[in-house]
Amino acid sequence: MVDLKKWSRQVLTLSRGALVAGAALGLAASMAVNAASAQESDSLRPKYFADLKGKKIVFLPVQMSMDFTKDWDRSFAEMAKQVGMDYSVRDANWSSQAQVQALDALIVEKPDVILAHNFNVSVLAKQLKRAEDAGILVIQLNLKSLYDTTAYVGIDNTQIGVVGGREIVKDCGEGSGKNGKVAIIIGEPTASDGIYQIQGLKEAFAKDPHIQIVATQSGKWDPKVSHDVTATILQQNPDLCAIWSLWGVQALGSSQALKEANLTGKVGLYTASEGLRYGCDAVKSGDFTHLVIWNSQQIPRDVFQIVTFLLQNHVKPGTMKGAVYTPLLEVSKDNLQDNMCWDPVH
Amino acid sequence: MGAQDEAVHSSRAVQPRSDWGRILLTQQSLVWIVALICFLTFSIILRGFARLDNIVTLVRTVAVLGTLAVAMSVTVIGRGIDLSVASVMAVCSAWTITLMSLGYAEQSAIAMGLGLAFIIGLVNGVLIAYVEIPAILATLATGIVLFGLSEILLIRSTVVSLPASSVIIRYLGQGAFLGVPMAIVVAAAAVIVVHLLLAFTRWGRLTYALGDNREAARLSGVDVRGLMLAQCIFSSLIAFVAGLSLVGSGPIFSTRIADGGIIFDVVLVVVLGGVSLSGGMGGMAGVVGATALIGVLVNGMTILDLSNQMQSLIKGTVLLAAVVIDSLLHPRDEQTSRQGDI
Repeated sequence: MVDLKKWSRQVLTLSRGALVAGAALGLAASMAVNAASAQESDSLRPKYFADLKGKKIVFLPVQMSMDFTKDWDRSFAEMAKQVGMDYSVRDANWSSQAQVQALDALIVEKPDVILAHNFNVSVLAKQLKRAEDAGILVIQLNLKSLYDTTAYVGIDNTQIGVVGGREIVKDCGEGSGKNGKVAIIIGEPTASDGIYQIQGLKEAFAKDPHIQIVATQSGKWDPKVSHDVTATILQQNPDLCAIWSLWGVQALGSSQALKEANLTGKVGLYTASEGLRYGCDAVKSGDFTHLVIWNSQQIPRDVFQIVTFLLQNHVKPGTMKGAVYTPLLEVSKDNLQDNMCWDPVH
Repeated sequence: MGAQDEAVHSSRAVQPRSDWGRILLTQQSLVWIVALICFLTFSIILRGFARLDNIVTLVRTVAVLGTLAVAMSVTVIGRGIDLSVASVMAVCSAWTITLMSLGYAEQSAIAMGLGLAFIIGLVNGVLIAYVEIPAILATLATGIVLFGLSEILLIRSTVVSLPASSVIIRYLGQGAFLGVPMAIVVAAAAVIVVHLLLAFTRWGRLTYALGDNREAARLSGVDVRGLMLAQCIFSSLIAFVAGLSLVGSGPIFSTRIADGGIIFDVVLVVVLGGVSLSGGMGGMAGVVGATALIGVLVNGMTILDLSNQMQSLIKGTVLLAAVVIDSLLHPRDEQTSRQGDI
């Protein structure tokens, strides 16, 4: 006969034991899991967000409504929103005076970071130093000032000149059978892009004494001015071999002048641009002989990398300096692909 | 217009002794003489300057400048000034192009651009004639406001592309009429129309009267306010036409031109051309001569490969000389110093 009392007592003991063992196992398991996840959580994240949240960042462009500066603005705003930074813009609208005034006001307001797009090499130099002395991190974008601040992010204009110059030497120099006459059309005469590009071009031309620069004029970053200047230069030098134009937008004015003089293709047009669609179209149609593309869309990401790293490390302005140059892409009819250029979002 | 006005206008003005002197010593003739001297000098020292292609290029470069100067002269003769012409030119035509890229037909877009220019002229006129704000301040302000508003409201980017579908605007910028580039034809048409209006219509006569002595004109029953309103509107409309020709001249256009100092070049051409800032004198002959002089100078300086700073220096010196000569020929007297604000 089954002794019910003894059997039920045994079952109870066993189940109690199983319960305790199970609980202990479960506890151990969850502790193990917790321990594992505690080791796997990202130790850099809390500091990242804590250091960036609420920081004030101000963009000071030469002009807000150019397609590539609008694209920069959109990128900066989006990235700032994601980390909780306070982003704003002070648009100089083509006026160097307005830039000076805006920067003066900013030095009083004391944001954490200023992204400066210099109208020319000298106009903001003194104030940029004052801004950094006041504890504001200054990153210069694409157009430099004579004064070097914590970082410069943007194109290496000297290298653009070297690359463009090298192509011109290839097509017009000794051994090409051409006369080596080159005209240079820069933008705003005192802006850093033109000054450094000429340095680069001269460096490339020094290798070939056959090249002679017959004209150096300013196209003022404007297609109409470029057009008129080019037309006049072509009058004087109808046997010109190459024209270097600082920027694609103004180079379109030059290409128009070449078209009117029936010299498209006979005079090479070499230029650099931010990668907007018109550049690739012009290479395809033969208006641009060679185009150096600096992809302006990469620049905001480069800027943000520098800014977030500096802010996380509480770097004091003036304690370090460096440059981040944008990679260049050379485009000509041989290697042209549609995805080399980008279309503005409207 | 010239010689008689001088003799009557002020007793302290330079008094030439002979008839020939009286004709040659007017600002208008002087500017043509200087232009001719510069032209001949450059023809001799610069190879290729005097070739027909170069002359056409030269005239084409300053055609838009000349048209704007014609627009501004209308108000300056009436003892006012219109500093918003550069903004109107750039913004209204950039807006026309933007409308086309948004899908509007070319004619509608042009009509709307014209309408905007009309409204700006109206605003200028009301501010100057009825609110009685000095012309120099009112038009400076409307020009800046228009340029600023343009990005917020009207155009998407300061760099606008000429749509491939454009026919009229492209013709105005790049076409040719009897072998003459349209930019030059537009400028010539503006000069002829304004000259005919100023010399042969009652409206033109009254504009000179208004500029010469506003009080006397008002007391004689001239609708001074209406006339000033009409001048401002007319000036804006001419500026718009100049803008169409400019926008049509290339595949791409930057509105930056409105802010780039072109307005000073326009004032230079107007003052140089004998359209005195004290109002009531000058005409199209002088404006054309001054435009020619600036064209010759800029073309020659480009060929000489002078730096930008040197070119600005020379243009500034020429303006200074023009203003000094203007004040010597038309010094302030009891009559002119009492009215107007320039």
